[in-house]
Amino acid sequence: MDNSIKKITAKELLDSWINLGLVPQSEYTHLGNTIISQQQEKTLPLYLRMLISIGALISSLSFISFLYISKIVYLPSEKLLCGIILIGLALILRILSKEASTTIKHSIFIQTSFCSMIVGKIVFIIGFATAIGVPITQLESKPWEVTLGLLLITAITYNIYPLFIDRFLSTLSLFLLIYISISGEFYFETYKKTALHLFYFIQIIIAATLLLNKRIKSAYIPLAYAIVCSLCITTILLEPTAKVLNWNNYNTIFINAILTFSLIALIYWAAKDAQKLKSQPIIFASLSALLLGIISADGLIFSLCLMILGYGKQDRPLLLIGAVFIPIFIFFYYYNLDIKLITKSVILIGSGLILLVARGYLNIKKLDREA
Amino acid sequence: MNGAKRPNIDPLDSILGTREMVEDLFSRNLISAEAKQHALKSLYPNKNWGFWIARLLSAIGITLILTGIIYFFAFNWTKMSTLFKFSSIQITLFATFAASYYYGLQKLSGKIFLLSASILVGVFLAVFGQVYQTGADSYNLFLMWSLLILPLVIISRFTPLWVIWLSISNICLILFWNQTGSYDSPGEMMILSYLALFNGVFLILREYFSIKGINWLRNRWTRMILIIPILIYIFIPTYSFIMDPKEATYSVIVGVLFSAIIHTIFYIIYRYKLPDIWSVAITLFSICIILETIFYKEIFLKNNSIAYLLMGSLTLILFTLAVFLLQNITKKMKKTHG
Repeated sequence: MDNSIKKITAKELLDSWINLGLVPQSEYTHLGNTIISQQQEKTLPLYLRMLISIGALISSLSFISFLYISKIVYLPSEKLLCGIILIGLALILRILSKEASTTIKHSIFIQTSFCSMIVGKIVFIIGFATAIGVPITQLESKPWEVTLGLLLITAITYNIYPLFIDRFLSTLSLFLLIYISISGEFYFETYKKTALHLFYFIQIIIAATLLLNKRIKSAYIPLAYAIVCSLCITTILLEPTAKVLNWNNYNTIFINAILTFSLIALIYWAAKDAQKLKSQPIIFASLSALLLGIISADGLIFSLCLMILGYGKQDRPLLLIGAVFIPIFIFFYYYNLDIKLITKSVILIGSGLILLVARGYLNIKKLDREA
Repeated sequence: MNGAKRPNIDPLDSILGTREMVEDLFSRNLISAEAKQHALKSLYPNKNWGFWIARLLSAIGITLILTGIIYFFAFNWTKMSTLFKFSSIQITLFATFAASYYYGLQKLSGKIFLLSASILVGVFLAVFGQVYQTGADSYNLFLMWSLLILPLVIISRFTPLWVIWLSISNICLILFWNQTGSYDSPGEMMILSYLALFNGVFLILREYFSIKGINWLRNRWTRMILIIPILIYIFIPTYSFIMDPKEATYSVIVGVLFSAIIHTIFYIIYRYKLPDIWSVAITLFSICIILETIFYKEIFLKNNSIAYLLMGSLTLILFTLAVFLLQNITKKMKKTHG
């Protein structure tokens, strides 16, 4: 992917915007100064973000254990208050980290801030659930109350606490908790399957909106990645869940149909971007996608969707998730799906053949040449 | 210019445009969605869809067919005749070799077919062992597999095939250690040091050939897939030593010594000789995890509230120091190596 990145300076970008009338000339100074100050801000590289996250996660586990064992905060109201104070502290530390004059101060503030945010959120959620009548020992069996607490605190903090990893983890946990809550729900047993399918569909719609709408702000990128990861997990979990819930003859036709439609939609989205691909190849690609949808497994189609989206947006994490998801899905596919190995074998070989036929078509049409 | 004064041009000329920069300006409502799209198209102009999709379809298509073949054998094992078992594998093996020859090893398709052939060699050996009930230990299968495909791996110049070969060889060593019973209880963990050494040799080769200008080895991930397993292998005896030092056998102590030496070497090499901040970061992270294990043993397991508080605080301090150190190293590396 790196080969396709063109080196353009900030000045060249600004000039091209001005020349095309995309930015008024009067904004040049302001934009230029913003870019310069942007560079001076302490944007952390990925390895540092990972280190900070792991350190904060381990330390917050210890602090949670401390709070639980010491019983310093015992009543629900105390937990709620403690959670809010810790979240407030996290926000203050985050602001201080931006203004920190030295690297060591910056490291201390950012690490402590994230740790404080994790502990604060967990304490708040427990406080919220216990305040609405769930005993602390029964939190596991009452996931809706916990989900509601997480939804509330995530909605409040998402826009005011701009740490990527916090946004990502909070929203991913939220979507997974919703899945757990629906599959563990006793009150609407008959509609559970419909509810899970609807939940899957809603996730696809939100992911598509966040990833394809050009007007979405970068603040929502962590949410988009969280939904993509949640979809990966949900795609793998739907089969075992069906087994656990004793749904006889469960099949994934609905999920397959959603994903096939998504794949076809993505082919058209990509075609807009590619001048080479004219109508005949697009029709062929759509038919291949349809055929793949009829015979293939949902995880494979989902993976293809992610990789096409990742390449189209030049989004490396999406490409990586799509590529890594294939072997993971194949592994679970072997054990989970309640169909014979011979059927699985035919599905895999058939899917592979369709892809190779499509590849052959590109070759015949000379569309597979490097530019 | 409408009277607007342009800022100092020099800094803007020296700043490279990035996706993050454009996204940030858009988030602050300073540019429109159209300006953002235009910038992204200028930054990533060469979306070569046909070429990329052709590669994707080849890679996934062949992966699925190979997996399907393995599932097929797993299902029909008892029902298949010996003749069918051998002939089907051999025909497929021949077909993949022929396809690889047809496409040539300069093309990705040729390399993928060679990789498929290498996997089918393993399937063939497994079937051979099952049909003739050779009674040989399974490490023999991996040893033969590893030796037979080594020439293919060397000529392929294809990193994924090297990764598969290394995985097969690692499994072979582990199985050999377990199945030959050539270890006694005190020496049980020596295998981890041997595995670290084995992978270390390939890491040295990787660095040597990379310096010599072998392009296909230059991707950072080819270094990472060797460094990470080495650090994991040497962590196991270190963990064992920390948790129960009184019961430490000679193999554990050797592992701990290896751990100290390897961490030091990695730090020095990737900090000064072959500067790579990711490798330094992983080495420091590994050291943090070892220190965390000590905290866990000495503090967390005391199982009281003060111990938990202390453990949390020490973890924060430790990781903050690591982040601080890495930030400083990054700055220095940028100054000295650009």
